[in-house]
Amino acid sequence: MPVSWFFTPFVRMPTNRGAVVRRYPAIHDFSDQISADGGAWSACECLGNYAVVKVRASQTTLDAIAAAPGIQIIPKSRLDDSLDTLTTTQRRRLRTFLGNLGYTTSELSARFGSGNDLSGVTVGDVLRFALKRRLKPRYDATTDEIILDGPEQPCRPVEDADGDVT
Amino acid sequence: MAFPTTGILDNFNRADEAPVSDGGKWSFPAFSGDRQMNLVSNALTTTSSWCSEWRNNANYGPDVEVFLDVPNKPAGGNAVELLARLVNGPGTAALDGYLLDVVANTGAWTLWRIDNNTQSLMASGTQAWNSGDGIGLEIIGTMIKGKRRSAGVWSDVVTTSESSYTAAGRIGLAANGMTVDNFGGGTVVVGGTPTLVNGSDSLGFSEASPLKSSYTQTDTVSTAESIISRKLSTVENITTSDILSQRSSLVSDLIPASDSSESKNAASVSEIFSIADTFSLLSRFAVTETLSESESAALISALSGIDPFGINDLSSLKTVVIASDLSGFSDGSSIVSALAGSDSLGIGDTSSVIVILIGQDALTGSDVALVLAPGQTSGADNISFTESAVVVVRLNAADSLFVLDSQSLSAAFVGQDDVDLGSEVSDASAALSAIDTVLGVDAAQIIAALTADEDLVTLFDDSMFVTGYLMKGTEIRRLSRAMVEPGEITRAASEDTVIVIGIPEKARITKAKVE
Repeated sequence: MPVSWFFTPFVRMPTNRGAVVRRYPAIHDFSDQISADGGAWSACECLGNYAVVKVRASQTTLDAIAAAPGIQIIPKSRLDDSLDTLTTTQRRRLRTFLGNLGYTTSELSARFGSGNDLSGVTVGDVLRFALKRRLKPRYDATTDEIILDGPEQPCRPVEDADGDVT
Repeated sequence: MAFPTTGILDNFNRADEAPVSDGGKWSFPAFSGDRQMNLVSNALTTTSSWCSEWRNNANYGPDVEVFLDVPNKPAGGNAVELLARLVNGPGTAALDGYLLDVVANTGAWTLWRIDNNTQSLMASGTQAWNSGDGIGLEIIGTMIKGKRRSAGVWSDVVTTSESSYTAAGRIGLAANGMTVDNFGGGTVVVGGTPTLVNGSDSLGFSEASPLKSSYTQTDTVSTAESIISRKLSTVENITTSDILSQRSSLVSDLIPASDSSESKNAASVSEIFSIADTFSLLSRFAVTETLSESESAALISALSGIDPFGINDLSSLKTVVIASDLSGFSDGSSIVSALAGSDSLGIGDTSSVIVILIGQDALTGSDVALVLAPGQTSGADNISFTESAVVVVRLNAADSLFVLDSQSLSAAFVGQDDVDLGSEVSDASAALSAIDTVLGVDAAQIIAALTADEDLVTLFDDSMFVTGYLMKGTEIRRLSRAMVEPGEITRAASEDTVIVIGIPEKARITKAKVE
């Protein structure tokens, strides 16, 4: 069964429970489908209200996940897979995505060079970079929004997710 | 690792409370906006759509577990949640921690991280479950597991790792439209042996001593019966095969280790109150070429103390009693007083292993007192005996001593080689049938008398006694020889000894061969 890595956004989960506010990585919308495939997923929250997710599922399901709004696929299965096999456009889109998560240009340049590409790096390099930090969420009742402006929190290592889904 | 390693904190077996209180140890809500839960008819039930409660009297962890029973699973989308490592104030917007959420009808099991009272999904799984199942949450280090107990067996349903909150914290639960029971948990006990938390002898040594040493109890209970009830409630779904599997493994491991040891100094039986100490004791027992009485006795004690399922704790007959001439004692209270003095040991010390000699060499009461004075390890020579039986009894202050014929009973248990109780008898009924065979005493009469808590003196007489309860599932073990010295079991004597370990029916410890 094929495996792929994704960045999936966190989304609000409606509750009917007072002040309890919930969010979940959008991959959970595919949990039933993945389970039906006999697959699995494992997630690590990263910066920018996103999660790095490894998924094992049928190709049909992986394609459906990749097509969902806000989800960014890394069409590779192994952490040591090189991104050089991706197109330049794909790599640049991925680098832009990392910036959109909240990492600064200087951080990206320090890690991946000053170009606009991600050549010469692996899937693991990119995901470990994405999981350098995340911010602690809070709920703002005034705006009814989950705000990510708290102190930096440790991220779950990508190796944990990698080990969960083999 | 065994799960759970801790005991029940609240079995809710008391008068109704609204909200549930347990002497003020429960608070609500864990999540702002949730309502209270009430104790109704010996269970905890929700009062509106979502309710939550948390234990306010202790922080548990960082390695922590929480569990409960769901006697009757609702049919709809109702859910139950277990909460752990709650910090920064349950019921506030600053709450951090973790929770397991289990939905009734969908079988969705999800693990959530709580940041500032905002819940983020970490992992999900699907597992149908049934009325009577147990739900558990275990957090050890960064590993978080949602567990289900079905037919007495705990298994992982959903697992993840997370490192945001690593400190000890409060535990609790939440539910909507659900009744739960037997809430338990606490700091994970390394080695899996529940340990005594409340060391004060609020129950009275003579009342519940056989039950206390390995029972996890963080709050006060009023009677031994309440402890028994709690323990029974935790083990009722354990199957015989569970026990046999675990025990056979333990016995297999322990006996070769003993056999291969050199002769070593004996250790005080007062040290037997944890797995570590039990193994330590075993390692120091004198062993020559064959498994001697002392090793066997120690092994019995070890087996009584090694308790992966938390079942031995409830054995009302766990205390090992090896006694000599007990004619000077009139009741259980006097034995306790003579052997252990006042409860200076505290219930967590030696109460689980009280050793009394029974034999023909007629120890006097003072000798016995020397043997088992609290904490005593010296002061008298070794005391040998030529014929003995080791009977595990429940010592209640109000117990009468049930006197059995020493010779006859010994013969029944020991002297008749063709009555191999050690390897063939797996429960009390069978044991009593064996007695029937040898003594000509109607086993049914014995059972009836024991069941009714009646004095057996009308059935037996003379210098030995059996008191307490021989329940179905009682294990009979036959040992070869025994000798004790003050506070210690040391080495072999000349004659057979039988150890009878009574296990209440629901524990079902059987057939873990020692010989």
